[in-house]
Amino acid sequence: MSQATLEVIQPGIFSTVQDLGRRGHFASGIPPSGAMDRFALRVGNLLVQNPLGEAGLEMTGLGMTVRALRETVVALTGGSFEADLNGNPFPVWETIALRPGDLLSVGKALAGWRGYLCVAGGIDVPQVLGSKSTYTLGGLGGVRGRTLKKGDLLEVGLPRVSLHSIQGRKVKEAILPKPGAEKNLRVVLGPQDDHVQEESIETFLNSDYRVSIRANRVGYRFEGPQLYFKKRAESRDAGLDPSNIVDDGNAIGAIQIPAGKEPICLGVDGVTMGGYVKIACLIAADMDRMAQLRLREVMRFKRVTVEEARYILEEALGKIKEENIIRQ
Amino acid sequence: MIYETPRYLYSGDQYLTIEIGDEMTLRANFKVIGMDRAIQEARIKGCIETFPGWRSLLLSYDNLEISTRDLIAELKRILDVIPEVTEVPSRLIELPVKYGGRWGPDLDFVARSNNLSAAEVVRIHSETIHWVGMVGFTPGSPQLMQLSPSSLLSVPKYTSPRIYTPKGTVALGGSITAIYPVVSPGGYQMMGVTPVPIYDRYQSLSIFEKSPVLLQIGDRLKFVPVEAEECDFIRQKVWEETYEFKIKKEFYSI
Repeated sequence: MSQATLEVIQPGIFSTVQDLGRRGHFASGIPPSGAMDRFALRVGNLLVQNPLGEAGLEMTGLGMTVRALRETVVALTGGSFEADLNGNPFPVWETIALRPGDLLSVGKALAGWRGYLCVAGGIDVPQVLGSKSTYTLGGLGGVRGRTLKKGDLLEVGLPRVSLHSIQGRKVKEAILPKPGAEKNLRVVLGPQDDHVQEESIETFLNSDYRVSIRANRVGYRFEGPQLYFKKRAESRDAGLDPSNIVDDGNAIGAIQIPAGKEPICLGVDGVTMGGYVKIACLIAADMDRMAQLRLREVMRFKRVTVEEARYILEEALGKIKEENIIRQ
Repeated sequence: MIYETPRYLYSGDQYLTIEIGDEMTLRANFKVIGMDRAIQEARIKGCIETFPGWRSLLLSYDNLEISTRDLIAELKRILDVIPEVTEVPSRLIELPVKYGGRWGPDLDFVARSNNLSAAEVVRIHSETIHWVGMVGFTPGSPQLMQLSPSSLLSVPKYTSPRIYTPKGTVALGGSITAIYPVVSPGGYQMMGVTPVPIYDRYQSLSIFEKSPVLLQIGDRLKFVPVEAEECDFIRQKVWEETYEFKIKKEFYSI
C-alpha cells in the first residue's frame, strides 16, 4: 500500500514524475516521454534498489524542495545541484535516509541541467497508457498530467528491501558522466541528409552550436551557421521552402533544420511528425547528454555509424550494475 | 512519385524510416497501410511500434535486440512481396463544426483565396469526405485529405505561426485540413471549431476507453455544419458524458 511520503514545498521550474516512458501510442501522436537522462534515472533506481525503470522526479535547472512525511531513502542523480538536508550539504549519486519532518532542498544546477530524485519504492502515481511518465502537452501521466506544484503530496510504493539495507550506497566515481566536459552530441546522419548540400553537412559536423534558451523536453534549438539545401525537383506536396518535405514521422532525437537555420533536436516529448528535412538524429545514448546541456552552452555534433551507436548504448547500459555501487 | 522499392533511411539508432514515395496520395497511403500490416504480422524480434504516415512508415526498434543491418534485411524480405492493397477498413465519422465567426476567423481569407464566398467554402468543405492520411504532431491530430471534392480548397499557411490555437479548431493549410486536439501553436488557417473531443486525456467518454485518441489512419470524416446554439448544446452533452459519436464501420477501396 502506498502512503504520502513526500510533500512538495517548492516545485522548482519544471519538475515532473518520469519513468522510462510509454510505448505503443506513437501512431496516435503520443511520444514516449520518460526521463530525458535515462542513465541518471536508472542509476538512481539502482541505488535505492528499485526496478531500473521505476518512476522518479525529474528536475530542470532549479530543483525542488520536499518535506519527508515518513521514513524513506532517496538518491539524487544527474547534474550536480546545490542541495541541502535541513541545512547540511546533501551529496549526489548516493543514498540518504530521510526521517519524518526532514527538509530536502535542491537548488540551482551547478553543472548539468537535470536532476533525478529516486525514492525507495518509487513514486506511486497511476499508470496512464502503460507508464507513469508525465507528458504535459497531452496532459498525461504523473500528477494529473502536469508539472508538480506546491502542496502536492507524493505517494511512494513499498520498497523491495528494508530501508536500512540501502543506506550508505554510493556510485563509483569512474562511471559517472562529467557534465560540461563532454562537448559532443553524437548523431547518425539521415533520414534526409541527402537533401542537404555536402559542404553544409560538413558545416553541420564541424561548427560550434550554442544551446538556445528555447530548449525543453519537446526539443532543443541550437544556434549556428546557415545550412544550404540541394536543388530539388519541384514537389507538388512538399511545400515551397527547400527545407520542406512531404510530412513524415519524427524519431525521438531527430534534428530538423527549418529553412536551414537553428537545428531543432527533438526530445522525449517531441512532436511526432513534421514537414522539415531531418539532417541527422541524435543517438539514443546521447539523449542523456543533451538532457544535461545548459542553456547557452556551446557544443558540436559528431557523426557516428549505427553500429557505433549500438556499441555506445550497450556500453552505457553495461555500467548500470551492482558492481559499480560501493557500500560505505 | 512512388518508388519501385522502398527506401530504408536511418532515423538514429532506434528508429528506421521506410519511405515508399514523396507524394500525398491515397495510393501512397494505401501502400503504407499495407506495409504496416505486413510488418505488424511479421512480428519481427526487437520491433517496438510502427507509425504509418502519408508516404512512409517510422519503425521504432530496440537495436540491442536486433541490429539495424539484420532489421533491414528482414524488412526487405517481407516488403518485397507486399501485396497491393486496394481495400482497407475505414470508419466514417461525423463531426459537427461551427464554421466562421469567433472560432473560425480565417474563413473569409480561405474564401477569398479560392474565389468563393464563405458560404460556398462551408458547403464544399462539409460535403467533401475527408481521409485521415496520418495522425500526429500533437496527440490525435489528424491530417485530412479531401476525397474527390467538387472543387479543391487550398490556402497558404500562416507565414509566421501563431502561438495559440484553441482546442477543437478545424483549419486548412495547403489542401490539408487539420484538427487541433489540444491548445497549441499552429500555422493552418482557422475555419471553425468542433465541440466534440478527438482527444480525451481522461478517457471519460466510452469511445475513448481503449485510447485517448479518436482517429486513426484510414478513417474518413464528414464535417456537419452546426450553428452556435447547437454547438453549445453538443458541448453540453460532451460535458455530461452523454454525447454519442456518429460512426459507421465500413471499408474503403481504391
